[in-house]
Amino acid sequence: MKNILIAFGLLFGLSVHAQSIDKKPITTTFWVAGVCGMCEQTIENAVDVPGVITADFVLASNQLTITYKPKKITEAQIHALLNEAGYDTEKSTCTAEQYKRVHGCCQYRELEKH
Amino acid sequence: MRQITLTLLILSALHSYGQGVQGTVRGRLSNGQEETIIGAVVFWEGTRSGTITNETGHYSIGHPPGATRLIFQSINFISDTIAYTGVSNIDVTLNELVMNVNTVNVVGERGATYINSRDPQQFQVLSEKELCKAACCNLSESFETNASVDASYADAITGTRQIRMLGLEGRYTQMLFDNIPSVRGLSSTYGLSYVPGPWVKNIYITKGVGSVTSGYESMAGQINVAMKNPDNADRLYLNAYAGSGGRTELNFIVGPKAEEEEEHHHEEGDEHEHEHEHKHVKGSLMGHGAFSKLRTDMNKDGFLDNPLFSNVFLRNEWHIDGDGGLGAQIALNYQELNSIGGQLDYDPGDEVRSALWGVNTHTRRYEATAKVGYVFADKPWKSFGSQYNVLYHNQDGHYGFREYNGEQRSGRANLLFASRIVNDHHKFTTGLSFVYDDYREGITSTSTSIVFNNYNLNRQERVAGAFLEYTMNPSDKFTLVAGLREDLHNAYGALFTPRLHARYSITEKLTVKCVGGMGYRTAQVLMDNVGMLASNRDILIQGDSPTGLNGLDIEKSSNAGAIFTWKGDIGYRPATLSVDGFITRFENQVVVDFETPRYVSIYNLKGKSYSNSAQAEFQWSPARRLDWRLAYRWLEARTEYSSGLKDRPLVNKHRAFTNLAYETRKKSNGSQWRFDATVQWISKKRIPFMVNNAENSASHTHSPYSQDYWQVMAQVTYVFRPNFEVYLGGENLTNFMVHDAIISAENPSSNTFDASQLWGPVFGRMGYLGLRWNLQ
Repeated sequence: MKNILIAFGLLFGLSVHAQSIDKKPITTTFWVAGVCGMCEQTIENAVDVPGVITADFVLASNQLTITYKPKKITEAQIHALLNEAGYDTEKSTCTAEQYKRVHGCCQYRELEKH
Repeated sequence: MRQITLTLLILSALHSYGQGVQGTVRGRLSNGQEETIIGAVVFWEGTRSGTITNETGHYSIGHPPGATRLIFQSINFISDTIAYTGVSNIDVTLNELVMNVNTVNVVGERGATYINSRDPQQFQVLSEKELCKAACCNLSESFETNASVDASYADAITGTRQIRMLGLEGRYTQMLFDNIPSVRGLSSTYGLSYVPGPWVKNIYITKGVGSVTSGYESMAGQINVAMKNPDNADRLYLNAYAGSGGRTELNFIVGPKAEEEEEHHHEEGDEHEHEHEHKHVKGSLMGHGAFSKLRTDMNKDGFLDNPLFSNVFLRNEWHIDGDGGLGAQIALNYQELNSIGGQLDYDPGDEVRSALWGVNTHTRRYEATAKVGYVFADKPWKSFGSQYNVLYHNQDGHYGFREYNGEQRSGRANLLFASRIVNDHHKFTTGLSFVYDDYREGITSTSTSIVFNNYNLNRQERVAGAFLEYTMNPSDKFTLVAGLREDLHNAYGALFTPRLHARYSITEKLTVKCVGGMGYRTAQVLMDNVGMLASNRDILIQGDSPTGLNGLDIEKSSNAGAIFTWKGDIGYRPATLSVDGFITRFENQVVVDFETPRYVSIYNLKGKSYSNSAQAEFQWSPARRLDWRLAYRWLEARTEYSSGLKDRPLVNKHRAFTNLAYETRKKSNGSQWRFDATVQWISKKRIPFMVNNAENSASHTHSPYSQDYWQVMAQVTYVFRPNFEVYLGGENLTNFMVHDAIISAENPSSNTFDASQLWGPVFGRMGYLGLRWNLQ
């Protein structure tokens, strides 16, 4: 009985713990390509989807700081969305076809890295 | 794979050589400090290829074939052009335009209205986005979503919109257009009606006294309207509007082409090129036409709810960027306003119908302003600025049984010199000003049955002043601005104006600002209180000052306040909470007393007059593209009339509103929906007793307090493309109306007739439709 209780308690505790982690929004920062203010808008707009609470792209450092609800969206999906908009991230690169979506003046692969 | 990457890298590196340019844009302020410029525009001359600098002032731009010169532009800075020689890194430092010594321009993708916690003087900034929320035919209507400024009608006939700050009439708030005091004197009541909403870029609100550099007049606050100008105007902008009240409106703006300057570029050496690059002349023209020909009487009192009118406004502005830090801005303004109000069938052109009680006014206004500034090239903290304006204002009006004629000729010069002491932590602005006002005003009775006093109020004011404003900025956390000015007035003698502004960041998120100082103003008794002419009240000017103009003293007040601002995150989303309190005390005031029926008495204050106000405003963006605002303001404004200390009439003690704005996600073609709704509550207001009970029946008597009321307004905008949008909206959706706004409406020729004490809307639910389009 005692064991069962402990096991139950452990399970319960764990599940509560797991749940609280699951529900808590995650803030992460990673590198995204991008060369100008227009890119910044496109990037922030690309992750304007349910589950993303805030997204702020800092062009100077090419860092996107994003807060999202892990229950609704995963980080991989966020990278995929950015690729879909034509932008490489530190974890995934977009296909040639996806890259074509980038506006002519923002073709970051042709521009000098800064 | 690695090889491919390497090849790609090399290729791209090779490719980028001579293909792109990047760098940082900095601004050199008139005080010598340098800062990176966010949102500076960088583009290739003669092309559409351009970009904007980011938060760190960095830009990066590709090089289109054939483009030879890169142009750098930013609001408040002198533009620069750099010849492209194949260098891939171009850092640029732009010099500040000196005439904007006291403005901090922060424009970007911010909320529609935001609280400025950095500038010690400024309180709030309203952007173009906020102005689009209301039907916004003119500026006074855009304050329905602002807690600091109350907007109301002056009376039930003339349709004059009036603002109040800290419970005090709009005349106690100084109006600046592009930093130059405007709508002074005879036009001070109309103030914001002279500015069409679509012309406006930003509005800067200062609560309490403003900077001494723009005069002694800001007593309750200062509103600086930054107009669209040749530096930021679209090439072509159109706005059309039609409301169910019969109002139709058309606004246009023509800005400079991307390639305005003449191309006389020869390869004659660097010096020539340099000279040429700094000579820019850019112009813009803005127009506004508004008409209403529809007679409406929704509250069924036999009087027009809104006057019929036709207004034409034009503004032509030129910016000249000269050599070596010299710059000039010149603006020419023309305004023509014609308005007919009064009994439903009143028609001044008709022999019979012109005998009805009516108001028929014509106003013409010509104003020219110029700003000339110079920055010392080797000492960029040192600058010289000058502001000039000349004005001719002519207004004549038929108000029932009285004829009014007023003329104002004004000239103003303000010379400013800004520099620093030892280093950038200590800066100062000093200068001289001269103001000349010549007023010729008269009011005469045409009645045979009612006895009215006639007045001729011709007067001249000549004021010479000197000022010094010292700014101490020892760290990012603390700023202190101490100002002094001394003016010599031809009638009122020496006027001393001390003012102090301070800002301190208690923590990274919490800022406190304190303000205190004095202010003065000469009362324009007839036009300040134009609403009183919408009645058969006789005007009694009872000035008893032996030296003052018409026996009236100069109005004098002291003001102090504190503002706490917290900016932080709630649930990962940005939020702002601002709480403030202000007190204003009048030492002298020209009291306008409606407390005796059938008369308006105007006299020098013989006791106390004060206003205390407190306000709390909360803004939060709970989700992306969703903004929520909740505001409450309280005030107590009392004046000692000859009948005792009373609440100032028609001022509501409480006001609360909430505003919700949402926009859908922008589609790839730029289309989106925008929704905006405001619910407002206005508490009861004191109404002066209208008619003497002993003489007249009880039906003529208003209760001493009005009822409180709710108002709802909403707007939906559909953006088809970034340059084309259509909006549909409704105002006063609760259809709340004042039905008994006019006393003796059935008998306007009696001496009890009075439409001057309006406490709420006379026009019910109103719908409108409009569009905005600009040439990309």
